[in-house]
Amino acid sequence: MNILDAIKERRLFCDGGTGTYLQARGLKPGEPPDLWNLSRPQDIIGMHKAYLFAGSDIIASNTFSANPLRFENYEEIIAAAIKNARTAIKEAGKKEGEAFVVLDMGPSGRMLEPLGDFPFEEAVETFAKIVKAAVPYSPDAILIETMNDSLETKAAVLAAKENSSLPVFVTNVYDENGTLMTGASPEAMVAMLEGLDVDALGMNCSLGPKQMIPLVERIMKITSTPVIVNPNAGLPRTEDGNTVYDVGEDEFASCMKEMALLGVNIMGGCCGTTPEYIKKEREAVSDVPYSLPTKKDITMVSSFTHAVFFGERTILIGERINPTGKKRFKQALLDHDINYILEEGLSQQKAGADILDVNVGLPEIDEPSMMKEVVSELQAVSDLPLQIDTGDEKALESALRIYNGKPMINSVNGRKDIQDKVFPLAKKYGGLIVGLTIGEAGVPETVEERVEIARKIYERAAEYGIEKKNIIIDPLAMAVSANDDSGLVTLEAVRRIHDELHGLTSLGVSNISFGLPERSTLNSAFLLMTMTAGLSAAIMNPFSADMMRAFLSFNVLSGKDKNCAAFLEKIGDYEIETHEKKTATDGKGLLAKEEPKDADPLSSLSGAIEKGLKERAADIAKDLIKDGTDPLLIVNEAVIPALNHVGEGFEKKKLFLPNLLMASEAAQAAFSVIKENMQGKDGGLDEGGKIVIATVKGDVHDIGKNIVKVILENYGFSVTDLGKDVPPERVVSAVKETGARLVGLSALMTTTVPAMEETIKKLHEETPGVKIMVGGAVMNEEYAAMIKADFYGRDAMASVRYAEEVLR
Amino acid sequence: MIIMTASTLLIEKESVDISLKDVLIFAGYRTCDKDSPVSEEYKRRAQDALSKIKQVFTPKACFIRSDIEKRGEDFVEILGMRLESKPLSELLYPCKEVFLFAVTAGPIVDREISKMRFSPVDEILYDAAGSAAAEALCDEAERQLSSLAGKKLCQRFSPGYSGLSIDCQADFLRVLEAGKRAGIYLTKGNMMAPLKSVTAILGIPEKEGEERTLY
Repeated sequence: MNILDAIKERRLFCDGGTGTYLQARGLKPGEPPDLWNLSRPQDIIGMHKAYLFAGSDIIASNTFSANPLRFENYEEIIAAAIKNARTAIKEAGKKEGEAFVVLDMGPSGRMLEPLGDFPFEEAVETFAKIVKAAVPYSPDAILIETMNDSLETKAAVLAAKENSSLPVFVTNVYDENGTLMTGASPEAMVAMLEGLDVDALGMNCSLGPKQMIPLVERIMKITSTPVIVNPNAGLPRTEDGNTVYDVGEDEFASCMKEMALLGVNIMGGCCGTTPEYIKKEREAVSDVPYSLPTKKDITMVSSFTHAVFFGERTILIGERINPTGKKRFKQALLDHDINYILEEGLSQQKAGADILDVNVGLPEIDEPSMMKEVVSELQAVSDLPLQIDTGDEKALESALRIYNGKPMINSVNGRKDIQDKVFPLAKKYGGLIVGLTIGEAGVPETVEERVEIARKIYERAAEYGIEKKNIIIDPLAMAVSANDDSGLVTLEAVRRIHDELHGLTSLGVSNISFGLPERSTLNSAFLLMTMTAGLSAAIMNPFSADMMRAFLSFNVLSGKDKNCAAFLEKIGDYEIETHEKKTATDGKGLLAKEEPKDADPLSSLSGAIEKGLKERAADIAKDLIKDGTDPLLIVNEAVIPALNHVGEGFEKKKLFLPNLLMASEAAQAAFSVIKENMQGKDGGLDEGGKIVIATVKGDVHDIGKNIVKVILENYGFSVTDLGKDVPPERVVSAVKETGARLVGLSALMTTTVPAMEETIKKLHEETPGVKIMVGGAVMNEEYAAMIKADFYGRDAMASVRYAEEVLR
Repeated sequence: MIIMTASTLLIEKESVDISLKDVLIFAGYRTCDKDSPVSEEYKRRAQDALSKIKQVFTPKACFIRSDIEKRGEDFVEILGMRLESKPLSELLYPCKEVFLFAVTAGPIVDREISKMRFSPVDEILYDAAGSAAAEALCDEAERQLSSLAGKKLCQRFSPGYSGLSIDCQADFLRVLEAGKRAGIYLTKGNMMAPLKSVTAILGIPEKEGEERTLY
């Protein structure tokens, strides 16, 4: 009997703590227990046997940190560890199928990007080496444990699945707030891990059994996968300088009985637990009936923090990260302006999106690498789940791989060739797949045909082992201007898929109004109709006030907005602004109070910028433009003088950096109003010249660099920001691409100065004539000269002055 | 010789006192000048940053107690680590034992700071609030360890201070089992991740009242 068959039949018991047991036998602080597999195998075998005698069915190999980053001879350690566990089972007299050895894999010991500097694929590679080392010794399963980062968990699961056919069990570490250290809720982990098709999931370490019970309850509610729980012996307390745990064997056992009643399938212990704990635990739960978790028909996707559930209310998918029909967005893709894309994501989140659609397809760009970069950067700043929207299977896979959760996948349709590409990826990485009702012959005109395609998509998905709950059908909104019935057909299709097939639906709602004026009026009406018909998710523009009013209103009126909370929170943003109201709120800035009403608007603008009041600055700029003031005059007479004034104040140490930055923000707010009104006119703003800036390789601090960037931009320079931890080659290629004549490099740590030096050397070699300025906490004039930089920028203003000298 | 094991130090979020004043100081606003024309607006935004960081920070800490194994004029040896720094050796003069500890405000703080990258003022303020949180965590860890030792401790001293090379960070984190106990890892550039993490040594003076400060 293999371990998966055993789980179907009976509750299995893991072992308990290792550290306490081995320390009692002389393990020193900081000494890795893994080495004892080789140096003191008898102690390790003895420990395993003690647990087997106490009633453990599952012995974890003593390989928690036996990874290639820590030990050159990790293969030898792993081999010995598995053999020791097998020997223990034999010596304990256990028969085949009675006790099992699992390969124990703990965290890599490095923090993954973007929080740390460990690249995702290197993490996968590290875990893969462990798995490959273990497979020849035939462990019964792989236990990925004590994982406190969801992304690292995913890297380990992929490594396990790609390099073995062994069952995979995963336990994560939740803290007192009920989340992983990097933020994931139990629901988010269930969504991701079930998407990855693991064989058991749950939690270990950090908490005692009592603190785990509410978390286990949350998991049991939604999971269809066997659950594994290995708590600590309570919470740690310090006694005479040693860590002791506050839950004794009996209390532990009675908590574990509650876990068994909740339906936990595999249980053991973690830090502070001993064979005695396992023995008592086993006794305590012996009379609790056993069963596997029921199959749940719950659809969820997740981000690195939370899960979004489908079916309760209509989910709002923001559609704005998409170049189709958007000139500015296309330009951002061509210019590699990731920040523009990220801001588009963040503002949709602010507007109330539940999920963000991500489409970065343009013929001119390398879509797979752009998709990977955008997904990776987006999930560093936004905690919304993403919908990967691409027709390029390489782009799809590159995004699915690094996605920190369970995404939506947009899309498959009725065509077999597309299904054959997308379904295998969805099966491997997990995801909620959008199925468009397009057949081999295009979009059918009748409801019946669309419903039929939906049915077939479900069937084909099932052939790939993908459940219906992981398909969401898009019956397609087509322009009503082209066919009077298209609204009705779509509505009826939504209703039938909902009522008859009991399936989920999503729609790109705004397509309905294509070709007609007043689109948002039509869109909001159609949105209400589709929501009434049972639409599960609307792909729409969350900046459309009309649609947002309709969306919020529907949820309130259909009883789906508890205590009208979302409505009350958000509706203020979409209030129709009357003239009287605008005047009434105008006084909110500090400046308005102090200022005489008849002040010259140009000097009011200067004042607002100097005081860092950005809304006020934007408002005055708007008024000036409305009154017909020449945009260039506004820039030259108000914005630049204000910036100069603040800049000088800063240089004379009369003002602090934050003053300077707040003024910059206000100036930018005014600038963007002015820019909007200058498009198409000749004689635009003075282009001050191009500058490439970066924080050098190995350094992840980029606040200083960001400050310099903002100030430079304010002075009219066009800045290409390469971000942090940038390799020398990337700086060189950016200089070549942009033709910039000035480069700014930042380093905070002494340890990363060599990287700066290397970057400068490469720049001098490959782009002669380009000037290089450096800055950062460790820099000074001498140091800068030593590594052959052209200039040391003491602060942001000094960089501006130097840029003016070089480029103007 | 007493060798003890690394232990987790429980820090309740509520017991960590992060002050607005510290946030402003870390943000470079040394004097908090009353006459500054933006101080109210700025303080409001600093307060917002502080509130957010207080909401999301996830304090973790661990420590180990050890003898000073060897010492010279400009070095000490602790748990097999040779720490070269004259000021450190002087600071620990009245001590036979030390605590090493590590604290972190957690990775969510890093994310919140990173989210602010489009608004440099907030980025500075969030970063400052994160630093203030780490500082407050050190204070709390120190308070707990001082009560554990039953006496006042010497001023805390971190890798990177007065001649002590940052290169010892890896050894510090290893003996503290800081990855497992507090989720603190080292990047290749010897920086700690999460960013708002601190490691330090606290000397335990042999006799009460003999604790030293650096300067």
